[in-house]
Amino acid sequence: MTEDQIKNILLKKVRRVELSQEEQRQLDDWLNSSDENALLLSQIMDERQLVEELKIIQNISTDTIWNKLQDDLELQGGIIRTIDKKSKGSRRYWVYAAAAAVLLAIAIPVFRWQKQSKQTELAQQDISGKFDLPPASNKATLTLADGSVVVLSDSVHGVIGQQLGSTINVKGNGEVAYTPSDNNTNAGNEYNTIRTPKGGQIHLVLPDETHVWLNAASSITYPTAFTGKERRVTITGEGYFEVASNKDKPFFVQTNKCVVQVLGTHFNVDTYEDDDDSRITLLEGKIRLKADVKNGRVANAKDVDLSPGQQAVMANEGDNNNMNVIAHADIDKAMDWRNGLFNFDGVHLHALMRELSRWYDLDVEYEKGVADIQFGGGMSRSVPLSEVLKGLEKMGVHFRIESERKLIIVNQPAK
Amino acid sequence: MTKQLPYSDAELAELIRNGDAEAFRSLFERFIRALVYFGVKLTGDQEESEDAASEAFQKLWQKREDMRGYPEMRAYLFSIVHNRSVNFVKRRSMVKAAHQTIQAEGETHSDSSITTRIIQAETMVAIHNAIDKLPLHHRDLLHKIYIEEQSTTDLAKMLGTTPAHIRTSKARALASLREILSDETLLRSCIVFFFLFSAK
Repeated sequence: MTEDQIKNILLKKVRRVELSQEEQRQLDDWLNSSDENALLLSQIMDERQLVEELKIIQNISTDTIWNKLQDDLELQGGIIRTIDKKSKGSRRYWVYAAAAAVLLAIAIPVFRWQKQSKQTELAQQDISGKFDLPPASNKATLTLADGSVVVLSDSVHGVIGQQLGSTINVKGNGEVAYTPSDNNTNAGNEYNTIRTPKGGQIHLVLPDETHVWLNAASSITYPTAFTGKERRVTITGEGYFEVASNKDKPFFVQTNKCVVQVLGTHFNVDTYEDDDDSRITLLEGKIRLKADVKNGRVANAKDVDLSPGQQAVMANEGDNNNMNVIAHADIDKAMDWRNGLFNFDGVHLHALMRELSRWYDLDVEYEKGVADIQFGGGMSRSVPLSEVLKGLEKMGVHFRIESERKLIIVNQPAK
Repeated sequence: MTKQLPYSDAELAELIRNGDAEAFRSLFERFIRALVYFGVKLTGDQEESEDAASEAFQKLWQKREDMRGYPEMRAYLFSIVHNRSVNFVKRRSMVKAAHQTIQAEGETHSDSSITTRIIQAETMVAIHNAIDKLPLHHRDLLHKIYIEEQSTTDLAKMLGTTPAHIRTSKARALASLREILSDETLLRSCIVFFFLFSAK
């Protein structure tokens, strides 16, 4: 029985037309197959309920949606064209341009959409029995100005030391705070570095009350006191910044790709070198990407200002050093790690596994010929690895476990 | 005009694949209400669902060359809205449960439940479209009775007529609604016919 047949039968019911015996049988079958189907029938047969549903549809302003859609498409179309011109024949950066694996992605677009096969059930029992890794927790190493290293974790609490101009206080929830100490206002430039390992994350509060959330496998280097005319930090990996506003002391973030000048704001820097692109996403305020050839690889001819909702994208490999600005960036996608989610929308297998490897401290290898398929959907970051692997199994990704922290992606499910 | 054309949906899909904006617009008109409704039923949020539906069309347009046909386009549109809606609900419940060790899974939907929801959305839109095609005076009357929930007596007073007359008018309006509805499933090919005609 097709969906069209069912829709026809339902419309006949709305019209109060008598059904043929065959139609009645089809309807009964359909009603018996799920409670939701019976609910739907009662919804369209009851005038009051039906009116409530129709009100939803009446409230939809299709013209407004169309106009906005047209604007968006023209804008993005413009970007597509300029990229095609600049990087002809080289890598493509845009998720939607990644055509090859799209059909596969459509066939399996959502976690949990797929029906479970016996095979995957077996494989799942296999995984959860033998092999699992917890999600990342609050841990990092702090390198002090004299080169000594302090290990930070949830079991470390309280004041852990004095640095030039600041007191370092480790609080609960993975927060490390620098508070300026009064007796040392003329402190010079001394630098500390916090590094998160794979499977670690940390929340840093700088002496000026700027907050930085550092994702796994990342680092940040910063002075122990902001005494000069500007505030300058260096980051690798991924971090989300909420910069304390101070007009007299501009804030600079140095990445391996470029220098970001901050004008008091919230933004995300994603600059993992093993990923295809670096992305700087602005949520609030304003930031300027400096035309700084000396300090960054990306050679802007001019400074580029980002407005909220915009994202700058730079390729990590190859000799394409252009920066592209996406006008309506997928903010959710850039920020979901801060909201405790993996966002797999439009993400390819290799990129997805890189993210998992950083979060679960995992090594991933591929058997020859494994397709780099594309995914949709997302997942909580607070689940153990086995939960994520279960999801991947359902999507047709097969793997075997080589050792405690090593996963091999294979073409065929394990026997 | 209501004669079924053998290549209706496939032809529309083919034109979209070739970058025909008119055809894209026609697909938009055909699915936008069902998609937004489908999203609202999942999230309860109209604005979010309008954005989700818009995103679905945006992505479809960008990937049009990879779409193999009409059924795939339809499935693709609904799957984008479904994905985004599930994520939206999940994110909302995670924000609510801030910082606890939570496993906000979002609602899970089985295949059959999603199919039911799509059927629901498309059936509702078919009914809506039929009402839209009613002669103005019939639509007006049904609106006053069902949406404004005015009683037959109040209506009769307002329109300077008798309750019996209102009841007859209502019955007529519903009868013509049923008649339009019986043609509603043929609407598709009809639109395509129009479109093919005007596109050339």
